[in-house]
Amino acid sequence: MWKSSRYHAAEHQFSRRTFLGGLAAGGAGLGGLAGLSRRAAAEQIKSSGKRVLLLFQHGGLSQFESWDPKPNTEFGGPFAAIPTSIPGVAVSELLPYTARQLHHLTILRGLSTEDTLHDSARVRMITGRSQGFVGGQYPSFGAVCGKLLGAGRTQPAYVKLTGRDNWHLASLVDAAFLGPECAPVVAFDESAPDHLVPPAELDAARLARLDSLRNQANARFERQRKSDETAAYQSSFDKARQLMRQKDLFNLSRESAADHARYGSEPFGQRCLLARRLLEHDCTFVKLNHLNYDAHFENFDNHLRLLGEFDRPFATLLEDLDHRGMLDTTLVIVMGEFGRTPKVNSSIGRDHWAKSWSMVLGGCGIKPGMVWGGTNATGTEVVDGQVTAFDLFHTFYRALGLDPNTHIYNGDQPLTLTESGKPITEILA
Amino acid sequence: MKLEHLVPLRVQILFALIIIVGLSFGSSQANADPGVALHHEIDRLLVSVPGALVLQPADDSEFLRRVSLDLTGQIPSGAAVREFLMDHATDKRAVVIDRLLESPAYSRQMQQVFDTWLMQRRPDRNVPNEQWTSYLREAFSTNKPWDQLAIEVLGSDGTNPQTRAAAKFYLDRECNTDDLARDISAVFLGRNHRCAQCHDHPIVPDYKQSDYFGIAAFVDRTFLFDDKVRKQKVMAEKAEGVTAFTSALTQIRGVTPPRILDGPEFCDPILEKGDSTAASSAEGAPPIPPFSRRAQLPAAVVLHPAFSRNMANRLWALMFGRGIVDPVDLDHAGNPPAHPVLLQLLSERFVQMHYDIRAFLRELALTELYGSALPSSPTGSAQIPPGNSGVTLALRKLTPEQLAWSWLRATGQVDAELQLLVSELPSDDQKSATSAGSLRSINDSKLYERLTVDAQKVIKVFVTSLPGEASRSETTAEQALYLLNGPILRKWISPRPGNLLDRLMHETSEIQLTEELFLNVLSRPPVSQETSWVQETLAASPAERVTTISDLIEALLTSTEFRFNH
Repeated sequence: MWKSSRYHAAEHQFSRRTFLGGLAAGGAGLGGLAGLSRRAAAEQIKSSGKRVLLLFQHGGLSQFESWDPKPNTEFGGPFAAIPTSIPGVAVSELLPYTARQLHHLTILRGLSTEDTLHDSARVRMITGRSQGFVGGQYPSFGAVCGKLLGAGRTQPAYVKLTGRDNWHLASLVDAAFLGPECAPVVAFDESAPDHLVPPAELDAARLARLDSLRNQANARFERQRKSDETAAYQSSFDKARQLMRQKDLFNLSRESAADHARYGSEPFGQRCLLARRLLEHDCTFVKLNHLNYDAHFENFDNHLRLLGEFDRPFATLLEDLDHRGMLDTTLVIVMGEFGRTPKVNSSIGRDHWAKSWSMVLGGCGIKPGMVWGGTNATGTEVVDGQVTAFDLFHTFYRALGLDPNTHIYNGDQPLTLTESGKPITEILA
Repeated sequence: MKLEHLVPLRVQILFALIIIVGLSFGSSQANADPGVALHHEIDRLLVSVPGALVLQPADDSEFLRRVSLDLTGQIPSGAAVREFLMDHATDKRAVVIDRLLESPAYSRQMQQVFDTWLMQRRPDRNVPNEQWTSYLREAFSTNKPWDQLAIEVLGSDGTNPQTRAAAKFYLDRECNTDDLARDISAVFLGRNHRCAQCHDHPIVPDYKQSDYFGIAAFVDRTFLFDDKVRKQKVMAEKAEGVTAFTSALTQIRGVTPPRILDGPEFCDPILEKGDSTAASSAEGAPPIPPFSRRAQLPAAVVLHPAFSRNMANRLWALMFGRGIVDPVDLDHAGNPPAHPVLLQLLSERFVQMHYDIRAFLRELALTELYGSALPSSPTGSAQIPPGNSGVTLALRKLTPEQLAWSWLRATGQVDAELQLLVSELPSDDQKSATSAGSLRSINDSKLYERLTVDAQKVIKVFVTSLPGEASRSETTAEQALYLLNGPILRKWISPRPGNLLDRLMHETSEIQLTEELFLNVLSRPPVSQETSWVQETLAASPAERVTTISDLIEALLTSTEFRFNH
């Protein structure tokens, strides 16, 4: 439903040039959508390329307490199931707001991914690969999308939003051999990266001279000693300058008070609002972290709390993407690295479970409002529509209009984007 | 090795120590004094073989910077570079190696390196960091052999105030079996068994679940005990318990006694009828078992061949930028050493040298390879040149600590602080303190204390690994932002009496200015184009001389040449 009152034209300064051509240095305002009719805005967004929102639930969300509830069964736990905006489909009562937006998404209940160790499972779900290759790691989905979809668009193309005390989750394997150009920028605690603003005494001329002096100093050294690491170091300064030019990109105070109220003042809500802002300004890939779902203890209390944080802002974000006509061109993915065990342990917790779990996805290239795959009555195994991590990645790439058999290159070594699998054609639009 | 009789704890450790001493004594007897210095042996293996790469010697300034970074954790001062370049003695490199190895900065560097290896930047839990780092520094200034250090770290239970600091390895992991099993095998044996906790390692056939639990079995009965009498946490041990495991992949169960990899098993002794099976414990004191599994651990670790191999490899990596086995904690058949014969030589000689770290590092620093220029790599690909054994000197980033302390030195903050310290001495002492040699007598600790708060801020920005994992320092845009816009570098550059900008501001000759700039920041003299470059830059902004010099300093401080050890 389109509510024009939600749009404050003055806040967005739309410029066709900035939208299509990526952002020029400095300049007044960043791309936005105000001042256009919804249809025209949608068309602009379509022509500017696809983008991805990956919401990662670190630690492993329990499918019982979310997308595949089994109330009143042996392993179902205490929570009930509630109807959703998809007729005949129920989710856990812990997700009431998301339930009302579910018609934008499709649930996969047949995920089966073998790996129950955090680190390697995370690698699998983030790179589409079960392990590295001899001599290296594969790049993340975000880095690959940045490379294949990010040219000529807003830089940074790939942004990660996370809490400051969970740095390690932000830094796990990323651009790998795609190089520092494809590496993400991490924004902690819903604020801009630190030190985006130069000290008062450095005017533009002096900043320019500093860069020039440093580049001159590097030129001689580079003629003799070059490596991936030296290139990464040099390009980190270019990236820093890019970020400085974009400092408004992370400035949440530019969003309306009304939007701040809708998303709430809690960190995850603010993170969702920042994600919306970044996507609206045409960042190619935004990864949003939410933690910590690894509920080996007190599973039910933990999920009550976590999904309480998650539910409303996520629903709001979905709603906003839809209203802004962005869902058609934004692939939305919500998942963790595995699910949780049917059996509840002696600490009222659920442990790691990769045999039969769930995730949701929607938006760009995905048919909305479907359920694909299913588990048995007690949720202990997949009985229909079994999907591996690689099937999932084949599906993601197809949804984005990319051929999963495309090669990326480690030097001159061609590597495929993911391991063998089949896209779930039934849910592809 | 099966101990048939009940032997008191202290005697068990003593027994183990006697074995070690006997073995190392025995081995040095068996191989009669080799007569050939280790560095010559290394040269023979790497350089004198047919088809080996012909090495170009490094420039003096290159060598001095490299060896200062590796042995003392910071670049040399401009004055030290000048002195070294003007020295015409033929053995000057050997002399400087010895001087660095004897300096307090060497102890601090080794403390830093070993602290990172052993404690992985974990936050303090039960032993304050200061006590632990003092203990390490003392160990390195007295050149405690590595086997002795390992035995202390793995053998202390935290009850004795004299040795409590050494127990940090256990106590700050809260005696958690999994943390200990993984870290003991990774840090002391070069084999990170982490994935083998739940099943045989999926990728590395050598790392079996039974290996992981064999090590775990030594510490499985150990637990953290809250000693209310002495008001501290110490280690205690149960008298019984079996270490069992189930593979998460195959569901096969296993049981193992304590055992280091393929080494001998340490079975519990068979008790005589009537002997106590329970741990004895005085009121409120930690229980002491009649037989301690953990007490067997130090000797068992030290006696395994992986122990010396691991440290020989790690020390090589410290000096050459990459281990012969790389990564250093993934030694297994599928990840063979780049030069097996070299690693074998180093492992054996390290034992014969009685695990003398200082002597071993000295030998590495004296090799031709260490004294050579890095292979030129203009195309940017890190190729191993044909004919080469696969062992090279690698281009590597400075560690976060090296970076912070080198910036402090390059900007002249160390000089300025020293000057301040001297001025705070009673006036009688000041005159003697300022004479060249005795500036070093100013307490290294005092200087460190003054500068460490700022240094730690910088270090924090450049550490990208999580506490508890192997140290990593990835390059990020956030670090670049910190350097460009953050307060610290600017603070260190801005003029204060005795620092670099202060000295350069008062320098009228631009040739001298350029020389002083390059010697202090890049630890080498400038080439003529660089002197012209500085002159042109200054000439372009005559009204802003000070800010221009400041910007030149900053440009060099943030250059790639500074960032790397080459």
